[in-house]
Amino acid sequence: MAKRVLIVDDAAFMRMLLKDIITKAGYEVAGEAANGVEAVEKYKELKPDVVTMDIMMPEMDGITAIKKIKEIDPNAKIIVCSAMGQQAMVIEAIQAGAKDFIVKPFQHSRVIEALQKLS
Amino acid sequence: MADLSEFEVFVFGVGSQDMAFDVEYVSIVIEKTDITPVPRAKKNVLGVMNLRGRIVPVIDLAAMLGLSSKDSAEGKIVVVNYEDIETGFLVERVRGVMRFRSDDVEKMQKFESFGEKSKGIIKKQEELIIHLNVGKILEELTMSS
Amino acid sequence: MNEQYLSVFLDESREYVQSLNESLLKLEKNPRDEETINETFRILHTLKGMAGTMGFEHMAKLSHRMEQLLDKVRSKRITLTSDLLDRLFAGVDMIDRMINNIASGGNDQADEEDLKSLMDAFEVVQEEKVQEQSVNSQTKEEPDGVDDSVMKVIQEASKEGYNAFKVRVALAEGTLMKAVRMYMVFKAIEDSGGQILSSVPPVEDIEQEKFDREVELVVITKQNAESLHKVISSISEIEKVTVLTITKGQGKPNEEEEEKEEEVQEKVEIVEEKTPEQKISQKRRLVQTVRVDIDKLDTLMNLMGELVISRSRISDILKKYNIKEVDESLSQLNRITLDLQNVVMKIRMVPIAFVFNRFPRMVRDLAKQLSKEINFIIEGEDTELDRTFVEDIGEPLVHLLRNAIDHGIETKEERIAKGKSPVGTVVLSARHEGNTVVIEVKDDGRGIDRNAVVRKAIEKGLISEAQAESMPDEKVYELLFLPGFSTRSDATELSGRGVGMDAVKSVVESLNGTVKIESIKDRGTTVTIRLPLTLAIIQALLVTVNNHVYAIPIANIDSTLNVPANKVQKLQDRLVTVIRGEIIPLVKLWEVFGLNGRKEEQYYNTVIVRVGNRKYGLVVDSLIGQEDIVIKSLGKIFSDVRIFSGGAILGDGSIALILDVSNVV
Repeated sequence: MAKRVLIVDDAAFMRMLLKDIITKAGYEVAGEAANGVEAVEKYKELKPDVVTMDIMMPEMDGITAIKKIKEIDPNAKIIVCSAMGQQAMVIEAIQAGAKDFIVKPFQHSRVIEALQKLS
Repeated sequence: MADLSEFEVFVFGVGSQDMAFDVEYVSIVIEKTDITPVPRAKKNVLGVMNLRGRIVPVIDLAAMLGLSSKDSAEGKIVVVNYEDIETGFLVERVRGVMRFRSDDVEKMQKFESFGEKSKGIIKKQEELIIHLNVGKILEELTMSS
Repeated sequence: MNEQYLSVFLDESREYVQSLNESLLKLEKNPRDEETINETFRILHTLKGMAGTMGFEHMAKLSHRMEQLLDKVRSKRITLTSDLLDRLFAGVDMIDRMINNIASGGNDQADEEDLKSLMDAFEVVQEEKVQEQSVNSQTKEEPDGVDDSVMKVIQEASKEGYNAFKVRVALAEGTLMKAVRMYMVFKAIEDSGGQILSSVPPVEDIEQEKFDREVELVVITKQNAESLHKVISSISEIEKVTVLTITKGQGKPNEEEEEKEEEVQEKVEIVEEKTPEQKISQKRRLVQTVRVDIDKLDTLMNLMGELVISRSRISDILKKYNIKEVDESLSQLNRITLDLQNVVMKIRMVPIAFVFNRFPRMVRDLAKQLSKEINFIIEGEDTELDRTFVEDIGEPLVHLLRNAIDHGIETKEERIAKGKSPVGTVVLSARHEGNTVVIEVKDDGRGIDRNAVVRKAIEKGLISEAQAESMPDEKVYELLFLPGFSTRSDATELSGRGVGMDAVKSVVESLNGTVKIESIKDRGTTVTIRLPLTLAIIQALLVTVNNHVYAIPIANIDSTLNVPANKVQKLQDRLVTVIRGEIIPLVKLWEVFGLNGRKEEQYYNTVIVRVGNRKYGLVVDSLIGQEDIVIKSLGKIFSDVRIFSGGAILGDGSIALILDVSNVV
C-alpha cells in the first residue's frame, strides 16, 4: 500500500507543488494542513505515515507542531521543509525529532529521496 | 542577346500587390494559425506560432513593407527557411511557383521605398511582381534596435 | 578510407594528445614521476600503433621517436630536462597539427623541415652521454594516520569493547545546508551509541560549512562496521560512506598477524552500490563509456520533450473523465517519464574538465612567453554542466585567463617590490551552487585600477564626473563590460581587465548566465560566472495575463498569494504590499507587457518571485498550475526582448512564453 503523507505548509502554492511531487512519486497524500494547530489535529485524525512540515507558519510554528506530534506518537516520521538560510531552525527541528529536511525550492529527487529513506 | 537563363519564384499577394520569394527558401505554406503575441517585440512582428512542435516567429509582411493590408482571418503563412532559421510571413493569398527568364526582370528604380528588401521587378506581359530579397528582410528583422 | 574508423581514430588521438599535454605538464613539475613517465610512454606507443594502422607514416614515425626517448627516460638512461620537455611539447603540437590536418580532409603531411629538425632533436638527445641515475622513486603518499592522542583514547576504549573506525562521509553533489546534513550524521552516530573522537575538517569548520563535500571522522562505538555504515547511509543526500577499521598494532595482538606495522588498515570498505566502478581501480578510474553522436543526443532530448508534452496532454484529458482505473497506470507513467527525464538530463551533463583540460597547457605557454611564473590551480573539474555550455564557455574563459595572466599578474620584479611572492597564482574553479554552476577565475595580481576605469569612462562620455564619485566599485567594474570600452591597445593602461569583456558578457548572457567582477587593489581580481545547471526542461508555474498563458520558472518562485486590493499601497510611485513585515514591490505583468487599461479588482493574484535576495510580486490574472516545460529559443528576431527567456509548447499545442524574471522586475 502506498505510504500516506500529510502535507503541512501555510502557502497553498507550496502544498500544491509538494502534492504534485509526492503523488507523481507514487505516494498518497492523506491530507493537508495550513498551520501547526491544524497539523496536530490532522495527525491525530489521519495517522499518516509521513509528515512534511513547514517551519514558519501562523498560529503554531512547525517546530512546536513537531514536538506536539512527537508527544502523541514518538515514532512519527516528519520531514521538515525549510527555506534557505534557516540552518539554526532546521537543527532545532531535528533535535525536536524531525527525521530529515528538504530545502526550498524543492528538487523532486530530494523530496522523493527523503520519502524513500523514511519508508 | 537576351539572358535566357530561367529561375523560379514563389508568388503571393500582399495588399493588392503580387510579390515573390526565391523558391528555394520557401519550405511550407500553411493556413493562418494561432499566433501568440510576444509583448515588447519589434513592430511588424506578430508573434510566434507552433509549427509542428517548433516555435517559429510570424512577421506581418504587409506592415513591414509599409503596405496597407486587410486584416483578414483567412491569410496564409509562408514559412521561409533561410540559413537554417525558420520564419513565417503572413500574406493574403498564394499564387504558387512561377518560372521566369532572367530578361523578364527589370532592375528596379520605382521601389525605392523597399530599399534593399527588393531585388527587382519581374515584368511579363500583364504581370508585375516584386521580387523580394529574403536575406535582407531577415537581416532587418534581426538587427538589434 | 572508412569514414567511421577515421572519426574514431581522430576522436581518440585527440584525447591522447590531451593526455600527453597533461602528462608533460606533470613531468614539468616533477620530472621523475615514474608513473607519469610510464603513462606518457604508453600513450605514445598506442598513438604510434594507431597511426601506423591508418597508414599515417609521419605521425607514426614521430610518435615512435618520442616513444624511444621516453623509453630512455624510463630506464633512467637520460634525465628529463626542461629543454627536452620543450621538444616533447613541440612534438605533441606537431602531432596535433597532423590530426587537425587529417580531420580537415588532408593527411599527416607536416612541414618537412619542421619534422626533420624535430626528429633530429630527439635523435641528438639519444646520442647524449647516458648518465646513470640513482633516483629514489617517489613514494606514494602515506595513508593518513591517526593522531597520537586519539590513538590513546582508542586503545583505552578498545579494552571496554569499543571498536574504532575511520569514517569518510561524502555528501551528494548540490547538497543544501551541508552543515545541517553533517549535523545529522553526527547525531545519528551519537544516537546509535557512538562517539566522535575527531573530525577533519574540525567541527567548527563544518558548522560554518567550511568544507567541500567530504568529512573524515574517527568514531568509537560498540557496533560493527556494517551497522555503523547503515546508520549513516540511512540519512538523505549522502553519496558515499566508507568505514575503515582502525586497529592498533602493538596494543591489540589479535587476529591480524602480518600487517602489524600498519596503524590504519583497510578492513571493511563498504561502498554504496551507486558507484561500483570506484572499487575497480584506485589508480585510474575506469568508466565504461560509449561514444554517442551529439546529434543523436539532441534528438533524444527533443523526443523526451515531446514525450513530456504528450504525457501532460494525456493526463489533462484523463483528469476530465476521472476514471479510477487509469489513475495507477497514469501515475506510473508519470514516474517513468520523470525518471527517464532525469536520465536524459544526466546524459547531457559532462564534467567541466572537458573545457578546463586544455588550459594548463595554454597557461604554461602564455606564462613562458611573458616570462611570468604562474601557479595555475584548477578546482572542481568534476563539476558537471550541460553539454551545450561546454562548446560555448571555452572562449570566454580563454579571455579571462589571458587577462588574468597578461594584465592581472604583475612581473616578477613588480611582485617582489610589493612584497608578494614572485610566483603569481591563478585559480580556475567550478562548483555547483543550488541550481547553478559557478565558474571563477581568480588571480592574486594587481587588481583593477578603479581610477583608470573611471577616467576612461568619463573620457568616453559614459558617465559624468559627479556620477563617478558616488559610484560603488561594483558599478565601476560593470563599465568594463560595455562594448568597446577598452581595446587591446589600452588594456595595459587600464591595469587589469577589459579586453574582450563585452564578448565574455554576451556569451554568458546568451547562456542565461551572469558575470560579475570583484577586485581589490594589489590583492587581485575575481571574475565569477554563473550558469544555470541545464537549459532544457524546467518546472514552471503557468499563469494567464490577458487571456494568454505565460510560464514562470519554479526556481524563481517563492510563493503565491491573493493580495486584497486594500492591502496594496503606493510607495514612491511603486505599488507595494507588506507580507510578514516585508515590503514587497508589486509588478502588474500586463503593464510590463504594455497592455494598459483594466478595471480595478478586489484581489491581486500574485506570484512572489525572488531576484537575488529581493522579493517581488508579479500580479497576474490567474494561476493555472505547475508543469514541466521544454524550453525552446524564440530565435534571433526576439533577441532584444529581454523579458522572455524562451517559449514552450503546451499540451494543447499553444505556446507559453517563459518569463525571464530578473528582467521583468
